[in-house]
Amino acid sequence: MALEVKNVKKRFGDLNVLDGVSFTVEDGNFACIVGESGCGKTTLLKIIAGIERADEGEIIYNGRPVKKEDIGYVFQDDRLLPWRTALGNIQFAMEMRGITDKEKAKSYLELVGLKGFESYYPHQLSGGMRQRVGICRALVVNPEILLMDEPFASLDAQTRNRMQMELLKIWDRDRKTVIFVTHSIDEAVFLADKIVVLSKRPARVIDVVDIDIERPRDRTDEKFISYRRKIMRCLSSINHAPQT
Amino acid sequence: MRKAQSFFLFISAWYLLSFLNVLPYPHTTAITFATLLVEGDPVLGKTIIEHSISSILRVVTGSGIAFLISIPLGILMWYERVYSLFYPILEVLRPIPPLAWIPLSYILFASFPNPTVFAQIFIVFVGAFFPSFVTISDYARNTPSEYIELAEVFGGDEMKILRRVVIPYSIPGIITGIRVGLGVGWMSIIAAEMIATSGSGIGYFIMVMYEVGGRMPEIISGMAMIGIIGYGMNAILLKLEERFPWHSKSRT
Ligand SMILES: Nc1ncnc2c1ncn2[C@@H]1O[C@H](COP(=O)(O)OP(=O)(O)OP(=O)(O)O)[C@@H](O)[C@H]1O
Ligand SMILES: [Mg+2]
Repeated sequence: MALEVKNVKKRFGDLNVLDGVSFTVEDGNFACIVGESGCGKTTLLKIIAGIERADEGEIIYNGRPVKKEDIGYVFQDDRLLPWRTALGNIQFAMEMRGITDKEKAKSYLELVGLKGFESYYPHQLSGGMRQRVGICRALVVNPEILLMDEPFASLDAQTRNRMQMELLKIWDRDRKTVIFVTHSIDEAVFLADKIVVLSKRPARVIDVVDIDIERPRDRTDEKFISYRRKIMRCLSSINHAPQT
Repeated sequence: MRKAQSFFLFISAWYLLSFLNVLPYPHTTAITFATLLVEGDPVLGKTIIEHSISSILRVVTGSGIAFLISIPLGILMWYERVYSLFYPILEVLRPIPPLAWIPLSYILFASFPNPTVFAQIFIVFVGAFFPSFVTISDYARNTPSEYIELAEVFGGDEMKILRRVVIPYSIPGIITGIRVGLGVGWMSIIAAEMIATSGSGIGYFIMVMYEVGGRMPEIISGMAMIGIIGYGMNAILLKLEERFPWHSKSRT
């Protein structure tokens, strides 16, 4: 039982973005993808979600091609609909799948700590709250696979750390398969079971690192720091390696 | 403060022109205007309010019919298929100003029981349709691709995207469209009323006051009434538009 990304290639015209990306995420695992800005992380995630078409390669889930219903997606921007309330935005995802269950939507808002904010519009919420609504929207459709595109990138360090812990708590409840894109090595080491390191564009997988630290993780822990160093070396090595 | 200055400048310039015998004095005009509000005019025997109501009713009917078509059609232009079918036709018709339709419409509706009124409503229809249609279809077609992608990633089909994304996104555009359409409709009815006898209407009133010997205070009163009503309609709808946080301010 796993999600397999198999030799995915993608070009935008002359721009070669993904050059044969392959990796596997075991069921219920938390994988992070790191890679520098513009290397194709968002493109890869969209291909996995089926909203962007790959030129080559395939996405296999449990031995069959991945389906829309398998996926919950959290966008890089919060992407809430401005004409809908927090609750309305969560119901939107359900409506797209033909479900109406207000109580469920409410209970999920509670889960991410937004009880009492049901009727707030996005512009009345803080950045962190909006991200939480976005995460909630992805969870409410009961996806098997949660795809998250730098969901915390725009938050301040403190909020970000808190959100990371909350996310791990939620993930721990039902252990969905998560693919979490981030710029931050620190964030990746804190969250992931496995880190997929992408090269510069055109992106290829240069390393897959299993993070073998008990949770909750301590950022000052020696093991933590040595993993950070390892990933950092891995990322910086590509800046010197000759491009082929 | 600025408003007061601007008003003062306007009145001073008017008085200056009155001294030069170009225009009647503002206070004379104001008295005429006030009288016309409560007493019937000397020729048709209707107050300026009654004339305005006649015009407004024609505008509301004509533009109402226009909006019944321009709103759904404008939204449907989001579909590429609909767009490519209708766009060329509408682009050819659009540059024809509503006033150019006046002679044709008076002929077209000549056999109707009340030809003048039908023709006038039709002219308002033409006037209100195109600007509202263009505004609404522009809005719908500019639905951010991010929102469409969002709907798609959660499995929404075209129908759901239209109903849950394109339509709600376009609501401020619909209000702008109604505002712009009413504005042009209002100008069109005044022009249409000036051309044919219709018994009432603010444009007709001005025309009659002209024909009975150029009664300037009455004519200016009528013009002022057109301005007040046009401004009022615009202001109300503008207020309504501002209530939408995602409404882009750059649109006119
Ligand atoms: N629809 C598109 N058309 C053309 N080029 C695109 C398109 N989408 C992305 N690109 C290009 O593909 C490259 C990778 O973009 P992508 O958004 O996947 O990068 P990213 O790794 O997510 O970057 P960041 O970390 O800054 O979010 C960029 O150079 C971008 O300009
Ligand atoms: Mg990105």
